[in-house]
Amino acid sequence: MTQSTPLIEMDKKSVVAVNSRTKLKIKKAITIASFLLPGLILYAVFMLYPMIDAVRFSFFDWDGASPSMNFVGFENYVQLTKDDIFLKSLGHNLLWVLLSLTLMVVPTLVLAVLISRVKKGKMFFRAGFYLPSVLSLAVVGVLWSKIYDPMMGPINVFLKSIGLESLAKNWLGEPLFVIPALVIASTWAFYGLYLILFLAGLQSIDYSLYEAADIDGAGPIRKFWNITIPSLRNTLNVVISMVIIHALKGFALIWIMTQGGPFYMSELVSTYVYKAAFSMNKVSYATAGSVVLGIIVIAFTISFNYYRERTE
Amino acid sequence: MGTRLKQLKGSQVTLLVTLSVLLLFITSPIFYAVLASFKSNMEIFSSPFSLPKSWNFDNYIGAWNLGNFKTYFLNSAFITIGGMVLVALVAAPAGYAFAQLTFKGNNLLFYLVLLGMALPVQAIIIPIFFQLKSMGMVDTLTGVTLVSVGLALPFSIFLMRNTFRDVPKELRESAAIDGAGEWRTYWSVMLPLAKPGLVALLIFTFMNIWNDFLLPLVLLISQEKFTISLGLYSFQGEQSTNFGLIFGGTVISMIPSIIVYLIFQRSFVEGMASGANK
Amino acid sequence: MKGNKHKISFLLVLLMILTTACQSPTSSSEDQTKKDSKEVKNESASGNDHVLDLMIPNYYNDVEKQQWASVVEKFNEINPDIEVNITNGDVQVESGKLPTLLQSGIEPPDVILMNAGPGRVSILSDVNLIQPLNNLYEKNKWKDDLRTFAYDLISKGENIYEVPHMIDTIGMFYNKDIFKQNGVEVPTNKNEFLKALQTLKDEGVAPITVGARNGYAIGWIFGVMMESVMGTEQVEELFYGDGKWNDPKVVEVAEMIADWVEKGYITKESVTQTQPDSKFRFLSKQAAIEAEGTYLITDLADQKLEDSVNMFMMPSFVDGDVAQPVGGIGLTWVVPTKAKDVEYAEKWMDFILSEDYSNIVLNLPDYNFIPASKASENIEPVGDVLKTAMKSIEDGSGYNPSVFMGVEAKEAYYQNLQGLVGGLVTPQEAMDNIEKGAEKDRANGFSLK
Repeated sequence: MTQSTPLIEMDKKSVVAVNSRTKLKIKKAITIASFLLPGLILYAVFMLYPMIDAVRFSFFDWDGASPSMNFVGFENYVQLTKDDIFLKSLGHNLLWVLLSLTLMVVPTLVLAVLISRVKKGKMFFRAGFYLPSVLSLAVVGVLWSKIYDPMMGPINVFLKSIGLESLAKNWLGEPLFVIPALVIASTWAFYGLYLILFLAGLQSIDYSLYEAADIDGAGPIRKFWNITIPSLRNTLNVVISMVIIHALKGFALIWIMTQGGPFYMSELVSTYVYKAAFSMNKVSYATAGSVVLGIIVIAFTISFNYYRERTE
Repeated sequence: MGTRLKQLKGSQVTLLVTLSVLLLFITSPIFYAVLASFKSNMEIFSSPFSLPKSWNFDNYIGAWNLGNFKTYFLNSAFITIGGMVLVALVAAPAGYAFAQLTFKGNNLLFYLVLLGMALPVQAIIIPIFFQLKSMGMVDTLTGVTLVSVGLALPFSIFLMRNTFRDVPKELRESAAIDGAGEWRTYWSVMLPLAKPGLVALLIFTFMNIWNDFLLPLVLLISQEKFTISLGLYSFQGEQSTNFGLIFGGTVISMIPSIIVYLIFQRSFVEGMASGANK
Repeated sequence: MKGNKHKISFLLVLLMILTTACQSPTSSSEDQTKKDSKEVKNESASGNDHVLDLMIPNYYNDVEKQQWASVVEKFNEINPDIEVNITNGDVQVESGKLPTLLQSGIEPPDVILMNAGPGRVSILSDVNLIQPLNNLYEKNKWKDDLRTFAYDLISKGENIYEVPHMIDTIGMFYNKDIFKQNGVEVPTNKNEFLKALQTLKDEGVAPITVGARNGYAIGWIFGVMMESVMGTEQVEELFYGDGKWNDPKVVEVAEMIADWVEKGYITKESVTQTQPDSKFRFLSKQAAIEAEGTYLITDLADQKLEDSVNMFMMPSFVDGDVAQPVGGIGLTWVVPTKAKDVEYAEKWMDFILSEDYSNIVLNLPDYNFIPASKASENIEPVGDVLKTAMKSIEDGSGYNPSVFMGVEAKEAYYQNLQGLVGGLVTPQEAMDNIEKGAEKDRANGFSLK
């Protein structure tokens, strides 16, 4: 209190104009703050701060419960490079990315082109094909684990009924099938968004290009290759980057359908890290793993945006 | 000309048929679930693709009572509605400030917010848990709501900034000349103009929070606080071979999303396309 | 036109918000007793409080729920002034839920019935989330109330943190009808046992079903096999001595389980089956045998299968030896450090060890646990399966490994056994991996010695 008195006196002494200007400035600052701060505070508390914490935790040895934390430097990261299962899950993440790209991009683009050709009822198809994407991943996971069920699932029941018993596999139980099976379920859950992006991109293609090509007598495939693809370059870029980011982040479906099993065969970084943190008490080690994942995703996103801005 | 038109019509018909078959095929898991939810376990196994023998709601009633879906449903509603209201109250003004007000560090702050869009939740979920714990809000619906909002903010602010950028600045200035304060201008002039964006934002938030799995999984402990996604997951664990009941629960869980989607389909899809393309 | 549409959709959103927003307060007040435990507890703390808050595992069926109701009724008869408030929850340490609950700052229950085992209890006691009960043990002479075997298991450390609730008894459950139809008798030695599996297989019946997706369940059958092949003492060496998981004797067990899958004794689908899946297959008579604990009894009652299912112990493969059921303490009571009414918790645990309690539960035809109290030793249970199980542990019991392992070894144990059933790892590798986990645990200071 004693300190504020001289301040007020100084205020009194200062010129009236300056006074009202600073007042105005302060008032403006308060107004702007009142717009921004609630959002920024929530963002800082639940995103920025945890982000800093993630990096901090990863340099300690901490089980999540004990009051003391030991600083261990890069030890957790060194351990990660020696951890076969972690490396395996990183590999699975990459495989997941590759499979998603092939399964997601081309078929969705073809579907989008087909829908864009429709004259009446375009909206209907757009809405219909998007439907799977509004379901929660929990629903998708439960639904598809039942579809893949080796005994009662419709796939195997169907295969057995037409006499193809040998093709009726345990889809989520065999190393060769488990990741592709999961990626198919995940494609089903996510392609809708990309379909809509492609449709929006297709809409903005100049129609006269096609007419000109028609006059030149170009067939549909050549038109697709020479006009559609180049005009969609921007959209394609966005879609491909989103597919990759999504593939790196996958968790819910795997957790619901296989929990990373059998025998780590579908373990991704996210499931491995979750297990380490919440059922094995290796909190700081798990955090280091998730920081690695975070860095990969962010680095990819930033370099991709950089590349996009440069090529545009 | 006539043949050409016929040809065109013919190709349209093939196209429509192809697409319809494809659509049926792709959405068949949903239909399969709906059909199965009316069947007994035995029936699902013996005739998986036929119509149910009788349309009884036993599986729904079973899931609703045995699986606590009533509680889960209300919990999800609480988190979702709370989250929608909070996101709207917080992200719209922030987006407005970034789009329309001039202040030092505008861009820098905005990039800081954008950073959040690149950050995967998986990377920070562990610290979030401990953060919430230190605030005494683990295993509370309020806690999940707040975290959901926090995580939704980067995209929401981004979307609202884009929306407000399309509103001409002159409107704001003329309102200022009339002597309206910034907040009044925002409420009575700007916000009404941003309605389409706001609606899109609300629907996104609904879908995201209603469908979320990871946050509830990590942050909720007691069964009576589970959301519908988490509830369905744990229900599957307990009843995994009772296909009928599981599908009853599955269909219950998907109904709200589908209804909201069908009502707001157009603004949702358009908002999605424009939001992600910008 | 377009503007109108937007207006309409906006109104709809508003309407939705309003209607649900109006609903949610009522719903929360309706469920408040359950949901907002904090508030309720505050209320009761300020008023005259005679509430004992119990937390027990989720009920798997109605039978269990009724059993608990009759137990509470008896308790109330003896202590009419204490009101018992039961909440159900996830009481596993492995899922991280229980430690989290105790750390979260929410007022904890007064006493918790959790999945037992030194590896689990120590996770809580190491960080002081539960309190030592030495004083209560002395005051109430609980040592004399417990079966010697049970007391020995929990009193190895400096402090005692738990009161055992029941003895786990895991053995082979079998469908009597399937055995009879295929001319199979309950095997009494190694050869009969293997022959029985082969016969069932040849007759086109699935001999053994396992829920290998759930680590604990694949751990059950492996524990049973370890007991038969290695004998109790050698298994004990792994936990309390210098035994190694990749010792030839353990690898032999791993080879045996891999062999059983190969020969079709364990069904191939087992690798993706969850324990509930497996249980369902067994109960619906699609498989002849399943390794389970006595928990199964309530399911049998629930499905009215009491007369068609019984259990036997897998015969010992060691000449002249008798295999014991594997187990240890299955569920155990602990008192959170921050518990409010320790006095009531004490009364409750004393009640659990009393003859009154054993009389109540063992006279329920569908009861599924062998109480850990001495008082229960002299009471014959009404249910047949429990009778078999109780007789089998008269001379003590073997070890269910999952309960005695540290976190690293246990995770490796679960995953590698799953790998064995899926044919994804060789027996030697699998056991090496588990030993590696055990080494890590030892390095982290985990020891039962």
